[in-house]
Parts: sequence; C-alpha cells; structure tokens
Amino acid sequence: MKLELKDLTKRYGDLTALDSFTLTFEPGIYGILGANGAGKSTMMNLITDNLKRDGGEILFDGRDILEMGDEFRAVLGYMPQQQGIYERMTAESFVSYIGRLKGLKGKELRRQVDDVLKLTNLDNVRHKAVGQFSGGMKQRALLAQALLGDPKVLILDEPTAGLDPRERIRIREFISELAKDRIVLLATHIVTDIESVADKVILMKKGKLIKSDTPENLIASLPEDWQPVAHYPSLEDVYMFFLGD
Amino acid sequence: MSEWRRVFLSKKRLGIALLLLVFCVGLYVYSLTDTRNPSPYSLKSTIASSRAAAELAEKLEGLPIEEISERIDEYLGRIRDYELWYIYSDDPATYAAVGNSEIVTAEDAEALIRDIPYLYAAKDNRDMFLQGYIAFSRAVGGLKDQTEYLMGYRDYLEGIQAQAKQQSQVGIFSSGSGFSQKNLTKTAKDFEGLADVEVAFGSNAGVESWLSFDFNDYAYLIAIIVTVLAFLEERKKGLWSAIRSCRGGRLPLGLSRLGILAAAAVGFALLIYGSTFVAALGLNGGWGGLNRPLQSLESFRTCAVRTTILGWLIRYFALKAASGMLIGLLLWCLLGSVANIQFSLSVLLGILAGEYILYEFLPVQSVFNVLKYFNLFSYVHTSGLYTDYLNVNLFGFPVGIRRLMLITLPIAGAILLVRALMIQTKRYPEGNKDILSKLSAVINRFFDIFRSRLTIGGWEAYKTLILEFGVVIMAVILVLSRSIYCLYNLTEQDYWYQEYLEELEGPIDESTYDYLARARENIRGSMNEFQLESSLDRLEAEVEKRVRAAEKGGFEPWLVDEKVYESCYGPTAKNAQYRSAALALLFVAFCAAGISAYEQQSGVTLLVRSLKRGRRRLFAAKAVCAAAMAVFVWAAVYIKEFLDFLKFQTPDTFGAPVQNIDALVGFPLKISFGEYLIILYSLRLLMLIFASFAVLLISRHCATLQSAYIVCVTLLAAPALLSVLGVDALKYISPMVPVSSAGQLWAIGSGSLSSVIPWVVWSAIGMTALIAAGVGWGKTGALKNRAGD
Repeated sequence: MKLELKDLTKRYGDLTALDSFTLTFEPGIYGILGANGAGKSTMMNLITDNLKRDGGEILFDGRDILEMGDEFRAVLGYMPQQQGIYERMTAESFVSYIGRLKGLKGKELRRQVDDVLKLTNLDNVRHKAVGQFSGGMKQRALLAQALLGDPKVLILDEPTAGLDPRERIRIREFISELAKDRIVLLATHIVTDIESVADKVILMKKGKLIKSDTPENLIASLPEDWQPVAHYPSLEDVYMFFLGD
Repeated sequence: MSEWRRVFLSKKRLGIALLLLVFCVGLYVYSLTDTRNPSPYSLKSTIASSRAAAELAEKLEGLPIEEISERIDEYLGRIRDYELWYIYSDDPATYAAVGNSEIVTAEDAEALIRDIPYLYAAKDNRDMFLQGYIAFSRAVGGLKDQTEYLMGYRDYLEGIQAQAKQQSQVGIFSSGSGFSQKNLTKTAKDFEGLADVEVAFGSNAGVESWLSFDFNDYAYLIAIIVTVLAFLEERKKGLWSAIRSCRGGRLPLGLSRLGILAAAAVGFALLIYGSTFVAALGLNGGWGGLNRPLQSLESFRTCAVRTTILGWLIRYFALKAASGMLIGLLLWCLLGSVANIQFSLSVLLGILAGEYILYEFLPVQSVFNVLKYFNLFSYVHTSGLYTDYLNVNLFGFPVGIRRLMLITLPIAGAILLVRALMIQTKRYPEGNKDILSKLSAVINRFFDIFRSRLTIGGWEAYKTLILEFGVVIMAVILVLSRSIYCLYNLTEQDYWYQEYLEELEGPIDESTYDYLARARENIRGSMNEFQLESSLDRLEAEVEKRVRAAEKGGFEPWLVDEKVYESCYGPTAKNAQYRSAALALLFVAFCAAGISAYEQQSGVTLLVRSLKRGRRRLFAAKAVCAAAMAVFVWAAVYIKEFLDFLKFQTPDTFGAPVQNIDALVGFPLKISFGEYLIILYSLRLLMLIFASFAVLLISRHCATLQSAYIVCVTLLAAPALLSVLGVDALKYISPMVPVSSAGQLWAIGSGSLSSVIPWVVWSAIGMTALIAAGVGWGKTGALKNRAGD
C-alpha cells in the first residue's frame, strides 16, 4: 500500500502554498510538523479532495485518487482541524450517521459505533447532544468517526488539540496501535505527540518539504554545537533548528 | 451603558427590530387588500374606498342615526344599480332580469356615481372599477353595520339590566347565592354606569382594523423574547463565570437589565403598535373621531369601561408596556433558571406552546377556565381584556378577568422582578442541578435506537424535519394554507338561469331538449314567468352554441357551468392564482433552504465530502428531500385549492371535453376537464420541484440557515409577493407565472402556444440548478481558494 504525492502544487493567487511537493507514504505514522502557513492543511485538503490542485498527482497504489473517487474515499478516514460537528445530534447519532456515509450498515455499523465510542471514551455520554460537549469531547467524537470503517489512510489534523494530558496520552497510544498496515498522517503543533508515536517526521516550510526522516535520525542530524532547548536534544530542537526562523 | 449598547445596538437585534417593523406595517397594509382577489388594484381601491367612506361618515356625523342609516341605504342602492348596469348593459336579456329598469342610458347610470370620484374615475378600466366597487361596497357596508349597532346599543344595555332582573325572579337563580345569579348581578352593575353614554356615529374603520390586526401582538412578543434572550447570551458563549467575577457583573448588571427590559417594553410597544396605528388611521381615516365614547366602536360593545376612544388608547399603550415588562420578567426568570443553556429554546417553545394551547383550546365551561384567561397570552392579546367582557368563578364569586389581570400585573411583576434580580446575583454558573440534561439523555437513549438504523435518505429527512425545524415550518405552512382562500368564484346574477344550468349540466342529448320543453310548460302562468322565460331563452341559446361548436370541433357537446371553471382557473382568477403561486414559492424557499445550508452552518462540509457516500449519494438524498418538501407545499396549497373548487363544482362535469368552454375551444388536446385539471396540477408540482432545486443551489452558497432563508426568500419569493401586491414589473423575475400555470394553460386554449415559454424556461433553470448543485457538491476541490496552513 502506497500513497504518493508527486510534484503536488497549490497556489492561492501569488502565494504558493504547496510547491512541487513530492513524498511517498507507506504504512506507518507520519508526523507532519510546520508553522502556520507551512502547507499542512493544504496538503490534507488535497489528499481528501476538498481542494483543487494546480499541479502534480496524488496516487494511491499507483492510481490517481481523482480517478478512484468513491473508491479512494472508502479507504479514507479524516478528522478535520475545525470542530465542525452536528451540534444537535447525540454522539451516537453523529457517529452512526457518518458510518452510514461510509457505507456501513446493520449490525456491523452498530458494532463499530460501539467500538469507537468506547475507544474514545465517549460511551458514557453517547446519548448526550454533541453541542453540550466540551472542546476535548468534540475532538474525541471527531476522532471516533474517523476510525469507522477501518480506514487504510487516516488523516488526523490536530487530533489532540483541546485534550487534557491524560486523554492526549490515551489517544497517542491508540494512534500508535493503529499504525499496523495503515498510513496515518498526523499534523499537530504539539511536538511531543509526534516524538513518541511517529515512525517518520515530515518537516514543512512555506509549502516545501524541508526534511523527512525518523525522529532519531532528525535529532542526530542536529549540528554538534546546537544548544538544546532542554537538557537533551529532542524533536523540539529539530523544529527550532529547521523551521524556527 | 455598555450593556445598553450591547443589547440595543447589536446588528442582529437591530435587524430583527427593523424586520418586525417592516412585517407589521407590510402585513397590516396587505390585510387591507381583498384577500379573495388580490388584484394589483386591490390595495389602491381599498385605501381610496376607505377614505371615501370616511369622508361620507364625516358628512353624516351629527345627523340622527336613523337618517344616517337611510342615507347609507340609498348610497348602497345607487352603486349596486350602477354595478349591474356596468356589467350587464351589453347583455339586455340578463340586464332585464337583474338590473334596475329605470336606468336606461349611460348618462342615467353615470349620474349614480358622479359624487363618488374614485369610482367615477375608475369606470373606464373594468378591473379597476370592479375592484373599486367591491372595496367601496364593503367600506360603506361597514358604515351601515355601524348604524345598526348604534341603533341597537341602548337596547343591548337595557337587555342586560332586564335579564338580571328577570333571572332574579326565576326560582333557581333567585336565592342569590349561586354563581350565575352573582354573575348576572355583577354584569348588570358593571354596565349600569354606561346608561347615559351617548354612542356616536363616525369613521371607525381605522381603529377597528388596527384592533383586529393580531400580528402586532406576536411581533411584540417576539421583540420581548429577543430582548430577554440577549440577557442569556453570556451563558451561551461560555462567559457567564467571567462576567459574574467582574465588579459590576451581578446586581449592577441585573439593575441595568431591568432598565433595558422596561425600555424595550415601552419602546417596542410604541414602535410596533404605534406604527400600525398611524398606518391604520392614515390609510383609513378616523383621526377626528377619537373623542367619542369608547362604546361607539362595535368591538367594545361588551366593554364596561367608561372612557373615550383616545382615553382607552392611552390606557392600552400603558397596559401594553406593563404587560411586555411582565412577560419579559417571567421569561427571564424561567429561562434563567434552566441549568443548561442548550435547552433554553426548547423550554421557551414548551412554555409558549403550553400557554397557547390552554388559551386557545381550553373550553370556556371548563372548571380550569381560570388557566385559559389567567394566561400569558391574555397579556399578549391585551385588547381582549377590554373587548371581551368576562367574569371567572373565583371561589364562587364572579371576578372580572380584566380586573383580575390588572391587579395581578403589579403583584406578579414585583415578585418576578425580585426573582430575576436574585437569579442574576445569586445563581452560580456551575454546579446547578441539570434535570433537563438527564431527561434529554433518557429520551435520546430511546430515539437513538431508531436513529442508528436510519438510511442516508432517512438521515436527510431527519435532519430536515427535526434538526432544521422543518416540522415546525411545515406546521406553520399547514395553518397558513388553511386560511388562504385560493379561488375567486363569480356568482351568477341570474338566479333562475343558474338553477336551470345546475339541473342540466351534463352531455347534451335528447333529455336536454326534453327538459327545456318541460321547463317551458311548467313556467306558464307562474308569478315569475317573464324572468324564468328569459333565463330559459339564455339557456337554450347556450345549448345551441355548444352543439354548433361541438359539430365544428368534432367533440361531444356538454353543458357545463363555464363561469365556475373560468372564475377558478381562467383570467378572472389570475390574481388569486398568482397569489397562491407566490405563497407556494415562499413556502418552498423556507422548507428547502436548510437542506444544503445545514452542513455549511455545522462546519462539516469538508468531513462529509471525504466520505465514500458523502458526495453523489448524499446529494441525491438532499435532492429527494427538497423535492419531497415541494410535494408537501404543493399538497398544502393546491390540494386545498382543489377542495375549495369542489365546493363550487361537483366532479360530474369532469368527463366533459374541455372544448365545451368558449375560451378553451382551441385547446390542442382532446381531453376532459378531469384530465385538464390533472395536467394543471401536475405542471404546478413539477414547477415547484424545480423551484426546490433552485433553492438547493442557492442555499449551498449560504453559510448559515438564517442567511439561506433570507437569500432564498429574497431571490425566489419576494419578487412574486411584490408582484402580487401590485409591482407588476417583477412578475417575470420569479417563477410565479410558471408555478401558477393556470393562466398559461387557459391561454393555450385560445391558441396562444407562446404560453409554454415560461414552463420551458423554468424547467431549464430548474434542471440546470439541480445539475449545478450536484456538481458543486461532488466536484473536486469544493473549498473556496483561500490561503491555508
């Protein structure tokens, strides 16, 4: 299973948000790091076909995702950055509805709804309207829907934003379990989230790929005279060194 | 002052206030039009007629009431004579049967209306004249009704005293201890003080029409609710704790809000009621008669308060403002006590629905009738406290409902004021018992069992009906459409002709001629022989005409009441048909606007588009939902219309070829009336479905439900509604003409094939809208180009 971005380009007027971006994803967790405006969300919107590309290709197992259409969306799980949600639906209704739109039905739908609600710790509030949820609970509801249908490509845009430390650790561990035979793209500002779970870290700046490697290799690539932010060099140092200006 | 600015200068609330004002004045003006036949001349002629009647009333003021009554009778007789001459002077046979034989020449006739400048000026435009005649007859008829009321008022007062005296002598009432006797005695005593009141004739139309315009009360209630909801905004935005922790966030804020509520109660009363009052008296006249006793207005027949109309108006505005304050305090206390702000709207709707049901549907005789009158809506419809005299049984004693409400007002107001301040200062933002959330979780647990089994189409229907309040919109539409009178039926002036025609309707054959021959035999020597013979002559001529036309056109001759079809679906009904179409478009805009916009408002567009069935399949469900809404609107408006039509015409003639009507003799299809009606109603359905597709496309570009409603109504329904009100230039801007369909189908009967153009154009627009909306929903890169991160 392979998701390839080839010369992917997106412009907003004079601004190039993604500049001939080329990268291949294979099963594993990819942490995407970049400052605001680096092109992270643009890349995710292009992969989910919510944005029209200006150039390049996105291939899934060698086929362009635009040609694949519904076929690609059947293997896609997406958790958007904005907390857009049907506020007047209950958690169970919301997840069931998304499950329907993913093509699930009957007992299989209900089984998966139960599973993801338990997994995201929403089982005890499943009959509460989502509008009454805190920010963190809404975040979990959005994560729950993304997990439905056993997606092969999982795109998580800031999945731990608004969660308390305990929830963050829980979700992080869960994401690391997901990685088997799955491509997980994880965009976040919280560097520690990526450090502990990502197989590979992608550093983006002004629409370009700056570096892509394992966290260990990236840390090792720091110059010897680099003064670490804390006691030992970490991914935060990598961020500061490569993207910090 | 910042709280005052926040509440009163918020764009949202200013917009709502402006809309309420526009709606109040606009609907009041619309209420003056002839709702049965809303022609472009309707409003103009109503206003002109009301003014002419007001001038007539002024001329007659001061004369003895009996003389006024006679003068009005003479007036009505004159205009009636002129109308008959105007309509039937070209048809001597009918005129002989129904007209005034003394009016022979045009000069004779015109002399009848020369002193009525508006009618005289309108005589060269048939539509304008007929509309003017109807409006003027109604306005002068109102004066006549007033004279009858005034002549009978003294008897009415004496009747009350006599009844009380008489009942006290009847065994079962005479003990004086029963409620009925006490009630009669109290009533007699209350009205005793009016014995020497001299009710006087004058122009009442302005005040009376203002009083009967209920929408003011609802607009005022909405304004008060909007003000109270502004006090809960900080809770909704999660700022309650922050505001409570501020120095001025408790008692000073509470006092500020009391001031705001009082200002809103007074200000909106003056704005809403004042603007319609000025419009009412400005359009109908009557400024000069405000110093007459209140009982001079028929609406106050049962009012026992001794005052003038002006005196009552001052009391009314004061009471209105006080009632507004009370309602505001009550809602503030109730909604402020709800622990979870998410439920405030449901609680509000629950309270209003409960109170309204008690107010409207609890029988007067019920032992709980105190709940009917001692009700929130008694303070909403304040004028009822004066126009409806009523004593309720309070522990066996009759107590006037007005007095009860007036005494309760300051007491309840003081209690609620203290309670509202306590909620503002003492209630904690956190840690309150949230019973409603628990209750809602139990209810949701039950409904989730069904919701989790819905298909995509079922979900779309659920979202449309429940989450977007489609059910509420549909209920409002059903209530409104019940009150729309869709058809304009002309009655035949020649009573005997009509009777014979109804007997003879059906295929023309031997039995028709037998019937006519027998009828001629039967009338010989009867009292009305001349009139009956004239009617039979007309009928025979009609039969011959039908037979000749059928021979020429090659269809079966039938005798049908041409006038019924013509007046319901032909040119006479044109304006009523346009009005129905405009309302149907308005309803479709409201029903379907949320279907596309809901995803945008919820911010889930990106999410659903990333799902396997979130594009074509979801859009298909949305399109079906929009079409289903159009079917609902069609049923609400047009099935009602068809049922109205059946009141005039039984289905017996549905088998007749349409060519049996003169205007349809050139209709290109050899079909029956039944089939003609099927085509007509099917075309309307199709055009409304296309309208729903247009709504789907328009609302897809709206970020919120509110903006979707506003944009769809503005683009689709507003031009149609304005066109119905007389702005003819807007007729073709909206799909009103193709949706109406009646005029075009009728015109095809007279060979005008160009009439199909509006259908073709609107069908093309509808299908294009569907495709564009579908492509837009499913196409690659639906996000607008914007710099992201």
